[in-house]
Amino acid sequence: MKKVLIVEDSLIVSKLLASLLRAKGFDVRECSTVSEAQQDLKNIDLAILDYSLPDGTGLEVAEQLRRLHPGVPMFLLTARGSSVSKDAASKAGIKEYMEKPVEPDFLLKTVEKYCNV
Amino acid sequence: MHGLNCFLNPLILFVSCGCASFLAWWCWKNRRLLSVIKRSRDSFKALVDLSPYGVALTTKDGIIVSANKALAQLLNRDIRALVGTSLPELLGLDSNRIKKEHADLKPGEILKLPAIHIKGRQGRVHHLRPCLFYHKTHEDLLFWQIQDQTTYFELEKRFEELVQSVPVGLFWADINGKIGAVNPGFKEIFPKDKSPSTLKELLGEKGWDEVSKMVRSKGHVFKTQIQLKEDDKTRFIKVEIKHCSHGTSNCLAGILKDETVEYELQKRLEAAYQKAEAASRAKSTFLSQMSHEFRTPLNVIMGMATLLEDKIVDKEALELVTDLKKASEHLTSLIGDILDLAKIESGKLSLDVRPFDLVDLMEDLANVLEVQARLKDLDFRLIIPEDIHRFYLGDPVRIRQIIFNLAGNAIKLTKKGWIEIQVSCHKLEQKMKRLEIRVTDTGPGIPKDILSELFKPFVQADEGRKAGGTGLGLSIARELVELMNGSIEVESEVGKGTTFKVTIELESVDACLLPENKTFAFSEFEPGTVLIADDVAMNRKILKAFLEKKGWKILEASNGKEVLEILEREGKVDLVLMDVSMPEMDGVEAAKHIRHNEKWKTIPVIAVTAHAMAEDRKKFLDAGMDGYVSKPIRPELLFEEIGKVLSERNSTSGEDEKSLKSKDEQQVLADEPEQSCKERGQDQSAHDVPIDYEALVNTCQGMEDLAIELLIALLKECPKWIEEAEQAVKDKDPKEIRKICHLIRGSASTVHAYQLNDAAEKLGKAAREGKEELYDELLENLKKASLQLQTWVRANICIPKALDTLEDIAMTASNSQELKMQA
Repeated sequence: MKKVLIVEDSLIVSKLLASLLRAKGFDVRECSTVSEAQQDLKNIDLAILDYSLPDGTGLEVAEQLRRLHPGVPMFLLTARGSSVSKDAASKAGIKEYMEKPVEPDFLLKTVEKYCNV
Repeated sequence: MHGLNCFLNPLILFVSCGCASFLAWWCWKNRRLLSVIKRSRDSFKALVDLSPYGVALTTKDGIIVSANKALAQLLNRDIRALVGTSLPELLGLDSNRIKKEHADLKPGEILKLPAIHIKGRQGRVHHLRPCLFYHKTHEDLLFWQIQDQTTYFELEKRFEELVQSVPVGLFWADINGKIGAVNPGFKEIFPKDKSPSTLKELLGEKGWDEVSKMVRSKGHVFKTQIQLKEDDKTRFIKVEIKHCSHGTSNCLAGILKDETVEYELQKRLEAAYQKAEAASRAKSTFLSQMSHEFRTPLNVIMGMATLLEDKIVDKEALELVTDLKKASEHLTSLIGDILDLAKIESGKLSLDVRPFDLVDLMEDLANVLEVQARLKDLDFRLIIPEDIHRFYLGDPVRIRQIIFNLAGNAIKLTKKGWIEIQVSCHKLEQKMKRLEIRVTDTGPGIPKDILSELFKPFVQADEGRKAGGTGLGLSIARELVELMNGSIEVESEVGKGTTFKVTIELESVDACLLPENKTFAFSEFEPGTVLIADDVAMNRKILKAFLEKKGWKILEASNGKEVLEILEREGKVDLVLMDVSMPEMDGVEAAKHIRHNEKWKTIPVIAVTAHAMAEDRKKFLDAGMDGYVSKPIRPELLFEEIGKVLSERNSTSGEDEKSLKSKDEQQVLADEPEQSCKERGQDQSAHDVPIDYEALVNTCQGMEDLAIELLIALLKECPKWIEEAEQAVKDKDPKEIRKICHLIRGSASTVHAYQLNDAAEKLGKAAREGKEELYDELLENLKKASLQLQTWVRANICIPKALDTLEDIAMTASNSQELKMQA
């Protein structure tokens, strides 16, 4: 079972994404803060990171994850209309960007592509 | 007799009395007359004595009878010794000649004698001007008056010397143009015996006409340059003629100056300047060509590295490829810097001035810098006053570049401590504001000897060199600031840190001027067909790989002609990525063809090119291209640009069947074919239904229980958010309000709760724009949206027992007045 990490402070968004992925047979771990996510970054096959988090940004999680396990695909969730620098994000190792509200089809298709399901 | 006596006695007495009194009256009157005469003589004597002129009375032979003090002083003699001496002798004049000359003099006539020079005290030569006359009452006496004209003579002499020795030609001419007096300088200018005698001769027919015109029109100065040719050599003479018409004089004064040397120098200077200009242009051209040449292979390297990254599983190999990519990115930014500097230096960089949001710009920049700073364990702070005016007219891209260069340097050089960006704004006249942006670090500081050289290209402190900078960042920042008519200052102390202060003056504008462009991300568009045109197969291969990965169908062309042929053949193409330099027909030409063809004119065309100069960009857009991506291609930038161009095309050709629709839009189009995405959002909120439940179930992939679970979670969160929002509104804390609204929107939009989403958006917007007066109303609006959502859910959704906690929620909220009213 592929393991997906979701770091998202909005309970609803997190719940939706997790449920969608669980329905497709992924093992999902949900975190709502940077520090919570950083406590355990082992055995992750894919990460979905919200950009703005209560104690930092998703890019911090991305940086750390990239250093520990290079090659783990990471997606960044952003609010519509926010202008997160793609430059910095891609430097942090972000592979895909998803604007909220996330389109479930697109999410699943993309996740499946990166996990070679 | 006696009787007669008696008669005579009183008569005699009377007469004698009368005589005595007449005598007394006469004596008294005469004395008065004498005193009047005496007073008149005294004042006359005083007048003569005090006169600045030497005055003397002599006999006809010139023997002094009387003289005044001034004469004694002029002649340097004692006044008492003067009487009895011969005045002509004292003056060095021939007495006999004087005698002869004044023999014919009529009374009252003045005889002026020539000036005489007498050596006075301290060897100073005095210039005296005697004149004499006589009066008919004293025919045997001569009156002399002697004027000291030394000062005047000296002045005249000095003036004369000046005129004679100045290295310019001077002349007087009458108003008919006849040249009168000239100085030696004038003669020197002309070859021997070729001095002109009239102005017509000097200036030529035309020049003289101009001078006459000046005289007639009461103008004052005429300036020209004449050329004198002699022995294959041409000399350039500057001529200035002034019309002197004050007082009684009415003449022309002129000055001639040989400017041959200056003229030749100027010619040489001009030639040198033009040569330098040409060299600079050549440099600019060379740089732009070189950059083109560099970018083409770099494109291949970076593109291949990016593709490789996805293929490599081996971690070590992946790291190598990542390094490879990093190095080529560094090289790309270096080339970019050099180009920027070249553009600025050749004056080709122009500012793209438009309305922008300063706070957004700074926050966005801070996001990037913060990540960089944290990687080095540095603290990063952005300080902007809450109440700062947000919107200005300026070039946001360049302002960003300036601050990015300064702060990027700061991060690069600082080993521990912090980096701080502080923004402040000062009101100037009218709408102008002065912005001050300070970038402070706790880095190594800059030594004093480097400080003055700091902004020169390639001048770096040792630290900078060690940190691997290009040495161009500061030069670019300075040049850009100057282009904005701003200034940049630096303060630094070795070992403590550095502060750069950028000051620019911008016009402030209202928020409504900001362009409201809704851009969809690339990923929001259904993949379509893309035509890739590039003459280099490798470049096509890279673009193909990037876009194929996203599910796009690829068509390929190797020149502009092929592009047109393929369009003709295939018909349906959703996007053209066009290289600019191609054989047969280049990209600019092909783009023009596409734009002028009825069938194709709405197809988006993006230039993909190694041309990176600003004027190139304009050329592409002028040719009708919609966007521009520079090589080497970075996939994220490519997708960003495609997303932008497709969004723009969509909004401009809303009803065009051919144009690509975003997925969002396509869904909506099924029901409401003519509405744009934006209108849809607003329409939904206008509906009585607070939520699009069907869309939510769709989002949940048909799992209705998940949909309900999400809804309930949302309703559970609502009271907490509203409480927080209430507190934030009470505190008038716009930052906090925005944060909460942002949170609400993220959730509400996910479950398609449009009313709640819109209410949060409005409040957030009011907070962003500092419209405090709207807070209360919008907060109520938000509460209402939350209640309506709750009411709707209770009325329409069958909630499974296990999940039914809604009662509790309703209880919590039941205190609120609205609910009571609704009940």
